Amino acid sequence: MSTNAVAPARRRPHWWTLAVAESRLIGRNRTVMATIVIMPLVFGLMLMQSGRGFLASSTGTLAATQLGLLLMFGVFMGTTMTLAARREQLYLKRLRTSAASTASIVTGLAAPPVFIALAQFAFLAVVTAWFWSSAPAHPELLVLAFVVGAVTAVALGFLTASFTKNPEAAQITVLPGMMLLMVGMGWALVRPTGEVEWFQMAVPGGAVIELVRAAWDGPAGGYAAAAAVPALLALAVSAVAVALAAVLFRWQPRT
Amino acid sequence: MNGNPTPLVTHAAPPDSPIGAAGAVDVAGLSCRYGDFTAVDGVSLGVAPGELFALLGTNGAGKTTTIETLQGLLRPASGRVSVLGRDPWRHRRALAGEVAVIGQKTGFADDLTAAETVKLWNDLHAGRTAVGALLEKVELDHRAAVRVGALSGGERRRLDLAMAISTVPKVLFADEPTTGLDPRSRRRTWATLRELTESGTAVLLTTHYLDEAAELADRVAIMHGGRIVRSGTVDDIVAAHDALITARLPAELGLDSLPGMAGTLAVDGGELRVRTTDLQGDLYRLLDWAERFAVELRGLKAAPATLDEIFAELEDVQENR
Repeated sequence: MSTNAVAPARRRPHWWTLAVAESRLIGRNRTVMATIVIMPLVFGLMLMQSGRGFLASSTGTLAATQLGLLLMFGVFMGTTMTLAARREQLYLKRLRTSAASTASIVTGLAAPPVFIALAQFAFLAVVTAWFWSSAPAHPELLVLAFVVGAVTAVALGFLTASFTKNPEAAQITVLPGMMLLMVGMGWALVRPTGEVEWFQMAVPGGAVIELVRAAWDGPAGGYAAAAAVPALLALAVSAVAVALAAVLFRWQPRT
Repeated sequence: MNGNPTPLVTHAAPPDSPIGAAGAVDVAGLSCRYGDFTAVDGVSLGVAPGELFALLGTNGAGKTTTIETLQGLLRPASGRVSVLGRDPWRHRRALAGEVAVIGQKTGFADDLTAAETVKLWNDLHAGRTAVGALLEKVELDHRAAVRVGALSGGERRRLDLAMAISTVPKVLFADEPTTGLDPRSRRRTWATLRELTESGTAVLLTTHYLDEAAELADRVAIMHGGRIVRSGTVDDIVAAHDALITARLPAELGLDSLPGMAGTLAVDGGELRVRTTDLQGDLYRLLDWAERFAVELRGLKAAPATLDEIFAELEDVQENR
């Protein structure tokens, strides 16, 4: 065989290699770029200008709504659309024949939408804090809110992709997930911070709203421990979605 | 000997005994189902290191299902499957570094370039051959910056080959690797497959092209309806089927004087046709008779059965069952 060998490059984790490739694919698809980069950012900026006082009673509520939009459009819809597209192209099936583990493939495909949403949220949070002169009281809870929200959105994305034949069908199949997230977020938003019941936080999106509001508007001390309830509920909901997706998700189109 | 095809058997070995040499790939009594449909029914085969085993068959014969099961993508309904001594369903990932695949459908991301696609595969498998060298090997170096979606079908097949040889795999599953290739690219692919077998790679090839199997394969199995209906070396299979001798006889010739033959002799419209498994003996008898009776055998042809004829014959027999 040919021996045009090169020195082995520094080994990067498989998920990173896949995430780099996935980022290129997202960057080269205008529809996906518009859905997961432009649309959430525009909505987030529009909310910041007009939302507080009109939609949101506090800066925390405003920031929570912004994160909800990022997770819904950017992570949930983005994951569903890209998974459907990659499966239709048999790219997922091909990756399953590679040395990458299932966890690496899932992480590599989900990482770009999550990282994009993280950058968008960081940007919006800084601008919101500056615009309304209101810094978050517990920034560490913002990180927790983003993590549990991203896990929930990715899990819902994989679950929805299980029922999605192709990217065009994703425009319809994402609707139940979007409704669920909107109900979860809306239900939590109508109650004051700290008064959201556990069953409201158990609906996807509800716990994230509560965590962001607690991060921004919460009392000076003692609230971090209370954040455990919404965090655990969000992770439990995500675990159910992951378990369902693990059973229902198909790596190749139905024949 | 009569002129009928030899009776069909699933294969000479017991149902659970692999056909062919064992070692790299061993399959015994493999069955696969999609719901109520049995796509593969009791297939057994073996491929040794450095051997090229060809699975022939029409569309829907079960070749791709067999290959996908060996890749660990499908779980067998029954039977034993072993690739490099491991169950591919349970050890898919562990085998991936040593097993390469050329799929019937390539499974590329259309918006990555040819070079990016090979690099992705190289990075996932710690391939040590430069991307440029791999693309040059399959004559795609001038298309390195072109997105896969803009490549022709043949170019995508060649890109698939470049990915397969990014490492020297111990096993290669090649599912119709030359479909859609021009003759020159086809010969290049054959040369690459030969290089791989010479390096010790066990190759399981599926193909519609019988000349490809005859050219490359150490052993061949013909699948139909999910079962192996013939197997062996190409020479074995050809030898088990009737060769054909044809010639035009003078119109005034009395047929009573024709010699006895090992095969079946028929004359239709002045054309003599002898179907025989003893090509040399019957040809000698015919020429000896023609010499003794001064008969001119016009347009004399004598040839063993071709794989194409055997394939068509097997198909007809199976369809009529």
